[in-house]
Amino acid sequence: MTSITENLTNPGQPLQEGDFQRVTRKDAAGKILSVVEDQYHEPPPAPPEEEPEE
Amino acid sequence: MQYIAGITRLPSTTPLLRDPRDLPLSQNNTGSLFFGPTEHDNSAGNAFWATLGKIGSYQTANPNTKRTIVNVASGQGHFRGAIGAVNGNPGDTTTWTITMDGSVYTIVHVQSVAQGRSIIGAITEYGEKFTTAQYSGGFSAHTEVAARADNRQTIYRQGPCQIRDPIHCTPIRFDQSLKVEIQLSNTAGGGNAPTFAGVIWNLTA
Repeated sequence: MTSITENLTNPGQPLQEGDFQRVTRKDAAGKILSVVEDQYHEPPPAPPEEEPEE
Repeated sequence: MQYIAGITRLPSTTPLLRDPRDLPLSQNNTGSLFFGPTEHDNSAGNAFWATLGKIGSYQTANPNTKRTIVNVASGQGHFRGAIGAVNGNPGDTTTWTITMDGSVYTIVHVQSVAQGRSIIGAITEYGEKFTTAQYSGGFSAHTEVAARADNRQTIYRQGPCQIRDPIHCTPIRFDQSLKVEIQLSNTAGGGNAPTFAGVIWNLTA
């Protein structure tokens, strides 16, 4: 299965917070399984690792 | 079940619900979005909205403008519910337009409280008002539920509101497409900046 993501707000540019995206999923034969459009949100920063207790 | 000329007809080809209007409708207040014990606002990427983004989609909703939160132009899956943006005053409305497999369903939700959010589906958990005795074991009913006249009545529910694991949310099946739009009345956000609205959905194929 392959997944293709397009930037609808700024075509050809990397996605940034708030951009609208289109994600197209295809199976191995190239048949389209789904087409979804929604707003892209950058993942939150990873929480700091806790120091092990002594 | 209907019996016609000796043929047994079932009322539906699937046991799953098909009409999002069959889901419960409720509302809560803006200041009570929780991820675990931490309260969150409408900042993109905070734990509440980032988590919702992993099980669905979210974006800002504006007054007097219909915004599309998610458009599954092609695909099969489940719609499990939605959480609206903050409305301003009692009497303001949240209008949901949910298009599933070509059928359009409209839900107009009138807020009864200031700074309220419209919530479709059993997607949230509210803080229980346990007593010490209730903590000791057994089951407890939400005190807010006791105020309901029936299952479709919308009431204001206080307390922390956190998104449930979607496995516990009643699914509405779509076979080909799903589009969820939201529009608030003209005092959305109580004069504050537009706030997020989200939809919980997933693909199954």
